[in-house]
Amino acid sequence: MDTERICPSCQKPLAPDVPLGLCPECLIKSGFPTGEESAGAKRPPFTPPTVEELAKLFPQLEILELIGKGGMGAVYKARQPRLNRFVALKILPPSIGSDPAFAERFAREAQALAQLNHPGIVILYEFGQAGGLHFFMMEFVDGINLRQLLVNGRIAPREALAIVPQICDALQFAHDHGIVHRDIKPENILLDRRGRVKVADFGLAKIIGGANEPVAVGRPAGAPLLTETGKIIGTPQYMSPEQIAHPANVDHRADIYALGVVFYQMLTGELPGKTIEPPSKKVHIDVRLDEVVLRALEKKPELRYQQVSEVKTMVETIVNSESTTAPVAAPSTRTRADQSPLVHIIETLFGITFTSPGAITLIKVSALGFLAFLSFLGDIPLPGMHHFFGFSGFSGFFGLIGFAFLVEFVERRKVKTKSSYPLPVVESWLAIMDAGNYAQSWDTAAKYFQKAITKVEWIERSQSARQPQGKVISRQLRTARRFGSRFIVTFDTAFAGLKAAVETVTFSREHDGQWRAIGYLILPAYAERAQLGWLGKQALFFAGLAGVLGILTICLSPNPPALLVWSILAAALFGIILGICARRNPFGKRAIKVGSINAAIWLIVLIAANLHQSTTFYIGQTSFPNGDSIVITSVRRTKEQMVVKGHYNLVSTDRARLALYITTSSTNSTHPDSRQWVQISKGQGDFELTHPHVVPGLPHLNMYPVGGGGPFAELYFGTQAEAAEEGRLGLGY
Amino acid sequence: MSTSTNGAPGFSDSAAGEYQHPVFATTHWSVVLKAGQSDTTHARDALARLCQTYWYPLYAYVRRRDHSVHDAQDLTQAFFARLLERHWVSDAKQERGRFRTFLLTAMSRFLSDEWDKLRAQKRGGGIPLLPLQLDTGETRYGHEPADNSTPEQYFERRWALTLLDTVLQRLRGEYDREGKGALFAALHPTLVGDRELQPYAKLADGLGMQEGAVKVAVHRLRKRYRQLLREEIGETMAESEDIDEELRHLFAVLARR
Repeated sequence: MDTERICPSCQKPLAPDVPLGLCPECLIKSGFPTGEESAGAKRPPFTPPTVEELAKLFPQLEILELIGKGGMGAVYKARQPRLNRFVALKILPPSIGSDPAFAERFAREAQALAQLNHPGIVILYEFGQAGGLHFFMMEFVDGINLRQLLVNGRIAPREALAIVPQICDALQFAHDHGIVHRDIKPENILLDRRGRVKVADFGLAKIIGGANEPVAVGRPAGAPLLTETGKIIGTPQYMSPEQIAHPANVDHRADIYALGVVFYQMLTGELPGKTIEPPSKKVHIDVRLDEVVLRALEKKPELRYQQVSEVKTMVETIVNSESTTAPVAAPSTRTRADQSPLVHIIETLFGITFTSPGAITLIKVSALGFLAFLSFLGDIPLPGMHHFFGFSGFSGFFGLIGFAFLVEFVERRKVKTKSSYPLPVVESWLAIMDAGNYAQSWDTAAKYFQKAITKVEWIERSQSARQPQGKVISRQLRTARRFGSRFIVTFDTAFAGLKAAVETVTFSREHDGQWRAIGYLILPAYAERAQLGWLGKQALFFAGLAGVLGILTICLSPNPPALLVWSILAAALFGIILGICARRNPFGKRAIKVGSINAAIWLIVLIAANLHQSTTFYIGQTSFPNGDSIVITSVRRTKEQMVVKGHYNLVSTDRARLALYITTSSTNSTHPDSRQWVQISKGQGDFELTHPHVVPGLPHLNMYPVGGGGPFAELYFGTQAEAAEEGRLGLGY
Repeated sequence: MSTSTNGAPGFSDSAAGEYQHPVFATTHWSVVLKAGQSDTTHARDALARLCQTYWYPLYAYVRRRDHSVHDAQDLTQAFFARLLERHWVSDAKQERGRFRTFLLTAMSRFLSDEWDKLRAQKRGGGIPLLPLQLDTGETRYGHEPADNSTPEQYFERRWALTLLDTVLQRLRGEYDREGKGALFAALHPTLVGDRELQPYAKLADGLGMQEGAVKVAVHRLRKRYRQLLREEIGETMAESEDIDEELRHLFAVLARR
């Protein structure tokens, strides 16, 4: 058995399972970057190699010219003949490259940078060493850098506002890949000939700098800081306070600060001083930009914007609101969540939220009324359809929904005082959701909620919709309203996975007096606007549908089904209702107009047709063998009766009876109403007869002998349909 | 050195002193994290490679959690099979981008949640997706020194030792391939301790070399070791993570003993 071995370096006993018999602690210790290689001597100033010297080191390239020189190295324009493209070759000062730890950092960082494939970021093609000099080969940008633009002072606000969002895009992309630029400054922001922004030199400060270097101050503007060992760590005027104090601990928010400085400089032409004066005081720009710039320049990182994309959104919002013809735009940066609501338990219809249980029930029942429309399409005879004939489609579907609106409206009118707002209950329930305890959140929700969705379903839905959003970064109360026994709260929330969202929580007071959750809805912030747009489109759809149905009706005339006409009115009306809800949206406005026009047209048509129908008549078969005559001047039908006026000319006898009958399929009218007949005498005269009810059949006027017997003069008349029908029957005259 | 495989213009060795071969793959773990939900071959390979290297610490952990040999073998195999097929990695974003912590967390979750379910299923059938030498695992475990650390501490220590083992094997392999196996065998003790305090004279005698040459050789060996160590650590981490921090952690873990 071996005696226990001891590590020669740390004198600790060695376990038998150590690799290669070496002490693991000491092995790890040897893995740390050593300080022994750092030199104490000052480096000579860097003179960049001449074009000829460089050409020798890079035979595959055509070195064209030196285009820039600074403490961070020298940049040359070169050409790759095989690929026939221009590249920018950046040579680093030799003093930087002599640190062995540098090579490892260099390789790793450069690999990370090479992954940054974005139109706003200068691409890194290659890196390496040639003749002892470290080099980068990058995309060549044919244009100028921002420093050159700023040399004459500030630039036009319009230009600045066009440049900043592009920088934000590039930075956000890099931050999403875990890379912080650390040296954002005008020299690193390039503009090509088409005005597109490209950010250069990403992460180089980290590669070259290392950690925890002492700071040298008092440098001229634009010149990078050099420490005693020649390590470069950044440009002080653009460095955030935390970057100067603890360079190792900076995160992406340092870039936001630097962006703020650049933004300030673009707008005012100056660097922000000790006390930052708002840009709007120095130049004529939108005051809201002050807030953006100042917030980016906050000394404490927690107070700044937490994501560069927020800066972009703010700038774009300000820009969009300035232009008068800006349509309701969807944002250019989409979050992972799409436009549909993520978690909802309350009923939404056409984007309008219904919260009162009564309204929700009505909506559910209204679905039945929709079946009436189907019957129109397929002629499915539904029980009782006959009675509800033109109205089921209308009142069933739209009517009940209209009722739901009414109920909701009435409910919302009942507003209570703020003191009875159970906000703490809402917040503690949200805390449960935030913690991911979806089971508990279901347990503590209202019975209505628990009936509407099972626990398992809720947990699943929350896990798939709420959990990916991650933890809450900030939550600000937006509105809180109480309607009777319901309490609706909305928050402006920033999640880790969804930067701008609106949470709507609905609570209800149950029988035991406790407030419990009945609804939770998360929508991306832009979805609200998008919803309105969608609502407006829906409105326009229905209003337009009315028009289409109208055309269909015209094609089917002169005998269009009544249901069709009612549907036109219903669709138009519905379009108007939705349009009013979305009246702030251009689609909604258009829907109101189109819907009103359609409704007006067809209402008039309907009324006129009714009138027309009730007054027109066609003469059918006539029989006046004895020379008498009957002439009808007007026929007026209502639901209960038919009134017929006209002249008669009795020649064949002295007296007769003139009667108005309707021959129905069942029986002749057995009990004639006294208004149905009149006694007439020889000669001419006027008559007005009333048939007490209108039944389907063939109306006719007859003259009868006073004593009784069959008619000796007949005149059949009726609607066009009735006349056609009669013709078919061939009553044989 | 040849030009890089994707056809980008390469610089032949005649032009430059030390040409860094552009490596277009990044670290294994970062590849896996980046793939996220999507199941690319690249990601699968990277994950498989990581699992092949670091399965033993996990096995030891399971054994430490008081499972029998047979159970531990089943569990480890099942865990890796699940890992490779189930896209658990999309959850890894919560952990700080380290394969080590991910593995430990995923395994402890697996042990508490899944194992009971798995037991209910029939054993046998199913082809193991990874060729792990589970039978040798027990032999190694049997040789482990007994101590009263928690299973997690045990895992961490085992992990660190596995890492070092892997690195040293790679280093030895490099020297072997260049025909310098004997040199490595003689010089590897110099990987430990201060550079100044190494017994250069003695080594020079033993190798029949000049002391100056030995110093250079040692310097090169230590430098390469550091590179490989940091590279290997890097493979198990996402790009944004700090290698030095992980090194410090591993040091602390080993010093705990």
